[in-house]
Amino acid sequence: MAAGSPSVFLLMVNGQVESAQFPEYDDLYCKYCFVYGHDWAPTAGLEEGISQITSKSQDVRQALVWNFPIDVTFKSTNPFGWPQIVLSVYGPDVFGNDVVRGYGAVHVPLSPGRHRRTIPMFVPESTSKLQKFTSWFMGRRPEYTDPKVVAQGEGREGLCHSPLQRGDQGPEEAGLRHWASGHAGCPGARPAPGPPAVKVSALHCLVRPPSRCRPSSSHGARQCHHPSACRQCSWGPWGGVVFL
Amino acid sequence: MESMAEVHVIGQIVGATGFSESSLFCKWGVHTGAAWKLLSGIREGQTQVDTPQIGDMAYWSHPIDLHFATKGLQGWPRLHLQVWSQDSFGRCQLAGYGFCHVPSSPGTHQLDCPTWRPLGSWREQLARAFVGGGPQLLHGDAIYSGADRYRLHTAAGGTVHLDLGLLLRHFDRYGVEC
Repeated sequence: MAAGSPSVFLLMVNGQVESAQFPEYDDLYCKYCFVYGHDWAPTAGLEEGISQITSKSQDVRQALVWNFPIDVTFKSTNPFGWPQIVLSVYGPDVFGNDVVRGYGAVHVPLSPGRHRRTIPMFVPESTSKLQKFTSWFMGRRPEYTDPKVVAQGEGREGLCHSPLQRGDQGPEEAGLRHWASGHAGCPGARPAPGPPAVKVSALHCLVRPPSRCRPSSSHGARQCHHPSACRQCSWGPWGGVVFL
Repeated sequence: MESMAEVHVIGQIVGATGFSESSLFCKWGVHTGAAWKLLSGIREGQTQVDTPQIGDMAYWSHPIDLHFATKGLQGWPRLHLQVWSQDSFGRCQLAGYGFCHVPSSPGTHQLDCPTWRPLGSWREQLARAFVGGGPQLLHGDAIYSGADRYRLHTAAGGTVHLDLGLLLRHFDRYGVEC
């Protein structure tokens, strides 16, 4: 392959948003979306989804199970801007209004195979005591107008020192400082009332160049099909080990 | 330019444990040698303040996505971190300095970065215990360089947890095994 020529590769992601642990809340649903760089484009599948509303299991696990499928394929020429899954969880408050219960984000795994991720969730907090009181009194939490900001690294210091000014937010949403976070414990180690966390499991990642620009070198795509487990293939130019 | 070896560092500063303070945030940066060039991504940043509701781990889930090109292996990237705590008045106090080398093998890596903070004189220690504050480094390079460390007297801080993924490209052209 000629040096520097754009080399397109595909990233296939499938899996499920399995379950969540929110000890304080019930009847929750979740939304997922992907955030990716400029060189990336979805080629197949849904890059956004909204799950059913689920209630806690009546057993000791107290699990909120969604079992919500994710199946999407991206193509890109550059790993920069590797896709991140952004999850936001919502549920009703005492008045029946939908309130956000957590935001979280994680990169799609870089290595192929089956992965399970436990995503810690957090919510923004109002900056001032007055805003805290009014949001408690009105029963409205500060929210992001676009949950995708949790996948961005820039501008987070604004969440600490000065109010984050976003023109499109309501007055009590304008100043955000603390992100109160939950705890993502190991589910096996902590079966009792767990921390707020969402599990995404069975993320099968498959990276391969599309057929029209399959490299002709000896490092070419080797695909090994496994009927039930994940499929893998490796491709040379990206330093063999990771892009299996 | 096109034939240079490339490194992608993609991952997250997950959070921190073991700090006695709550409401933590982290300033981070990447230091590289002169042969390295950042093609895209942000070299330094700061997380939000996190106040844990359950447990004692502060979660930041702060994304990192860096794309380097390099002419040599010297000066392999290292991440330096400063953990700060914020009290209820909005005052910030240093909780720990730390650094870790970006791994050199491709794949995903879970890193734990231990931190330390300067102790200062007994007066400063006493003042820190009662009014907060405490000594800070004047020059941040002491975080990731070994020179001049012998002057310091430090105490342990908590641990910062990172999940980093590494992709290498074109290293085989220069006979580098990876």
